Amino acid sequence: MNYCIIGASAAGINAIESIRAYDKKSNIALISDEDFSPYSRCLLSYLLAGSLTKEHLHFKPKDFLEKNRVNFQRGVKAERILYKERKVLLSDKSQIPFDKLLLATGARPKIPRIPGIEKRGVYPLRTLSDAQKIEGCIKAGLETAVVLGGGLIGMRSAYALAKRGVKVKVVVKSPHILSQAIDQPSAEIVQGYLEKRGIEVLTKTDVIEISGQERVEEVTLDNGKRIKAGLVIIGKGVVPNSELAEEVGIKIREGILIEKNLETSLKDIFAAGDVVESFDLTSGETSLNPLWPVAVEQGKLAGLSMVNKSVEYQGTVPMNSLTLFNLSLITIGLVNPFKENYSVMVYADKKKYLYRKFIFYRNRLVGTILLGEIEKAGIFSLLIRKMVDVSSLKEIFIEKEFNYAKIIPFILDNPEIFKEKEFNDTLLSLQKEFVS
Amino acid sequence: MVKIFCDIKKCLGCRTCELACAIEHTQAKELFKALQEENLPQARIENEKIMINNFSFSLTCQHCEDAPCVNACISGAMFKDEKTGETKCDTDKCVGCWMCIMVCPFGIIKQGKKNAVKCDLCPEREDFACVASCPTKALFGGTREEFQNKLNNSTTQ
Ligand SMILES: Cc1cc2nc3c(=O)[nH]c(=O)nc-3n(C[C@H](O)[C@H](O)[C@H](O)COP(=O)(O)OP(=O)(O)OC[C@H]3O[C@@H](n4cnc5c(N)ncnc54)[C@H](O)[C@@H]3O)c2cc1C
Repeated sequence: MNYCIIGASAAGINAIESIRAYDKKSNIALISDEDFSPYSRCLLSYLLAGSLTKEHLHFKPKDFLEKNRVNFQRGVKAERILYKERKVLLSDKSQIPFDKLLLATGARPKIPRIPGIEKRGVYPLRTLSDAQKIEGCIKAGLETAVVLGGGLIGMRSAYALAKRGVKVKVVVKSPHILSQAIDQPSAEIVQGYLEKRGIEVLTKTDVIEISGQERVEEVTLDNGKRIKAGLVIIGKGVVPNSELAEEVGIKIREGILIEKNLETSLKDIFAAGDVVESFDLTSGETSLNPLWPVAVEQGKLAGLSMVNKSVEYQGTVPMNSLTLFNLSLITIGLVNPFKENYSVMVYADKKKYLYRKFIFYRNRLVGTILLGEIEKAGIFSLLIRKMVDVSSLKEIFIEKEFNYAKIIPFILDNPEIFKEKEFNDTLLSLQKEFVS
Repeated sequence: MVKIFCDIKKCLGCRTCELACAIEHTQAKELFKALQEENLPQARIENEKIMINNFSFSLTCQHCEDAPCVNACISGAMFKDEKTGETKCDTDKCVGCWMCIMVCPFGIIKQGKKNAVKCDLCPEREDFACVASCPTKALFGGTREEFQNKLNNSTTQ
């Protein structure tokens, strides 16, 4: 059997682990157009901030590929899939045969069409090579920078630069930062917090031109204002690398469409990670969910599917975690409900930078924003994922004392939903009395 | 898989385990000296009130078989020990992104100063600090089967 995996990141690497758990013998080829050994791109902003070194970027033990006997082709691009011949054509003109193929090609940054965007000193932050270019600018004595976009990557980049002593301005088209991830009131708290720490946020405006001789020197906003910048970081979201799939006739929309077993519309070709669209359990819609844990889970399941284990991927709950200086934010599920029939519960203390919001749909928790105090977040993600009726619990969500013990009555009542052994483990001494 | 279990019927909610755990995870391993250390002692076990019968119980990492924290970890710090099944955090690799906190169904991973703080089953001692400290012997360190046996024996007595 020949397995071939394109993309050596969260999805691809985790698929290998699953495959090797059941198939020690077959060939596994791994193709990456990045000329690095596998690393976690989520750590790139930490690398820029100076809180870790390149040595820390690998997310699996260093001997992972060797131990799993992977034929790793790095620095080469998979250019075409020859489906009938069951081969992948590489940029170095070589060919890799496959019986099962995984597309784990991820996503790439959206680059807006702005005059001057191609100038030196204008970079996205997606790859280690992007980070190295940005590092070069910082080392060369960078003083001012502009971040385009107030999403998670934009904010992480801005924070990293601020940590390195660079004066940063974040330019955001929306009325507030993190507009996809949180709501206006919480975003305003975060903005206030950042501005006190020297990160300036300019909302409802956009960059219309990037100018400078060869390198960027300044940007012009749509209101005519000009801002000096020795570096521009582009944080305008990502697009899935779905071209390979499209060319071979795999069904795609924005991302690749997959079945519950992670197979694409072409038999024996699977897909996982940022390149696919998946079912969002909280919105009930199929969408792009470009997140590390999602890519890990899908990669693992795709690997199992490729070794013919039966797999039924239910879908995902989008979620993210962001820490800027000492302020932590976790958002889970649907935070800006657009349909009717949603109810919300909010607690806010702006002075203490605290905010908690819970979003319910028909007595089920479907989303939360936790700012400031985040330690019990996982219990909320459990309740969201399990889609249970939480009407009897709602009132205590906001309390400081909220913890796992408070959902125990629930777990006792719904053993078929909380079926993982670990829940039962916490209740062994209670069971005889309460489950009759 | 060895981990910490709590007999809810024996737990008084005295929080001695929290203190013992916090002290065990300091350099000095002694309350007075520990309070002078740079990082204040932090417990990895937590006593929580259940809303039934005024019960409370002490909870710590369940070392989940399919551990959500390991799947969510962006740095590879959180991992399963292949031999023991223990969920471990390599604090040298942990960057404090709190993705693990976001997904821990027990809400039992804590924010340390720079990295995630969780039950490590007391690697520096033979027994477990929380278990050793428990005045009513409500806490137990061992496998699920061993704990189940212990419960069965105590009810038949
Ligand atoms: C700075 C930063 C911070 C982030 N922080 C977080 C976070 O805190 N939490 C979170 O959930 N997510 C975060 N993310 C998102 C997360 O990194 C992605 O969701 C995750 O990397 C997706 O993994 P993947 O395996 O699907 O694809 P990718 O990581 O995109 O990897 C795909 C790989 O395939 C390669 N490739 C593509 N096409 C080809 C081809 N034709 N031939 C060969 N190779 C190809 C690509 O070059 C790439 O190396 C962050 C991302 C960035 C950039």
